[in-house]
Amino acid sequence: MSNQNLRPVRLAACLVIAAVVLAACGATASSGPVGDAGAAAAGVTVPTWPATATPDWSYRPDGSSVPADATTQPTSTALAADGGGGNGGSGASSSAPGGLSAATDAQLEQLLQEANQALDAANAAASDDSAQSGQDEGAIP
Amino acid sequence: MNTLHPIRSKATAVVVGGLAALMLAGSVFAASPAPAATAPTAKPDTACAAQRAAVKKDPSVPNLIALGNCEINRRYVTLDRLQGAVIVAPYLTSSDRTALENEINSTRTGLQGLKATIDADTTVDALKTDLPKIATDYRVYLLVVPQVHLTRGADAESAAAGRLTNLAGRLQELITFAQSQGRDVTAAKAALGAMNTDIGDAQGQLAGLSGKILALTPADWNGGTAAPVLNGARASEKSAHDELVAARNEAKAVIAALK
Repeated sequence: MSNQNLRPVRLAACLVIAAVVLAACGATASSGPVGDAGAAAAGVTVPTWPATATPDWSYRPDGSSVPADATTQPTSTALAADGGGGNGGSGASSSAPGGLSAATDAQLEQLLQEANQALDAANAAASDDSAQSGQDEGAIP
Repeated sequence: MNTLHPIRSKATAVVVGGLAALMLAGSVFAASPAPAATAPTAKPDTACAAQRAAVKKDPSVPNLIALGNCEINRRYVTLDRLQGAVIVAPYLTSSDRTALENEINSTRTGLQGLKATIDADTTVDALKTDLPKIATDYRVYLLVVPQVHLTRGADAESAAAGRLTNLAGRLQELITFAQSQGRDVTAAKAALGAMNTDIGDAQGQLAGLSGKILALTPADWNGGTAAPVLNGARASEKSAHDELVAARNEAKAVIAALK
């Protein structure tokens, strides 16, 4: 028989083997409780998760100790947190504790520069006025 | 000669505009001298000296016409320079820019008409009537020039006040947040209060100022009412500038207190 003629036979054999394996697995799975109950029945200690809806921030899977204030929201002492909104930074780039973030500092510097440029333009206009205004209209007979 | 003027005028405007842009760009980075508060002193009358000497020696029709053309031509140059300044002025409001452009254009058009009249005059008496109009009907140096520069200054200072107001708002937010974090913000609040006061004072000086400047006419100058307005505008802009510089320095103090 050629290889082509053998293909249906091989396929049927594979299907039979797969069916046997699946049946065996199903029998094992249904033979007892699953999950935690199954583990407990098997004598394995399972960590108890908090029953409350509020997450317990002090929980550490490795059992290590945590700071007393670890259950509060993380805060940054820098004004990098940019309270009050605006276009400030996120606070992740604080330059010094309690100070302005680099992003906020840059933003303030930019606003200062914009004011400076307008003031310089006013100076230029005043200089032109001083230099050019009042020129003699000409003693025209 | 007349037909050459538009070409020369456009070329001059381009050159003058470029120079004005360079001067302005340079001024942005230059030190900031306080603007003058007093009226500029009258410049010596050195323009058209040759034509004036010729008229003094021989007040003939050709010499008078030559003097008139010289006086008008130097006004064209000045108007082109003013046009360049208006084009590149970064803080002029749209309406003020349009008003200045219209004034410059109407002055130029008026002078072109007067030049045609003068060129057509055939008597010394007619020229003695028409030549003084070059000054009295247009007041290029005593009125139009300061109108352009003082309006530029007023609008630039108004822009500076606006930017400092934005900065003050941001600083207030930061102070509020710092206070919520338990920080001592006494110094920052005091500096911000002074800053807001100075900005408000400057805005009071600048309120409606460009409108007053732009409303002036040569007739107002001839009647003696324009000069006090222009001098008052100079004083207001000087005061506003000083207050805005103080506000800027107070902003720096707020920032330093928050660091």
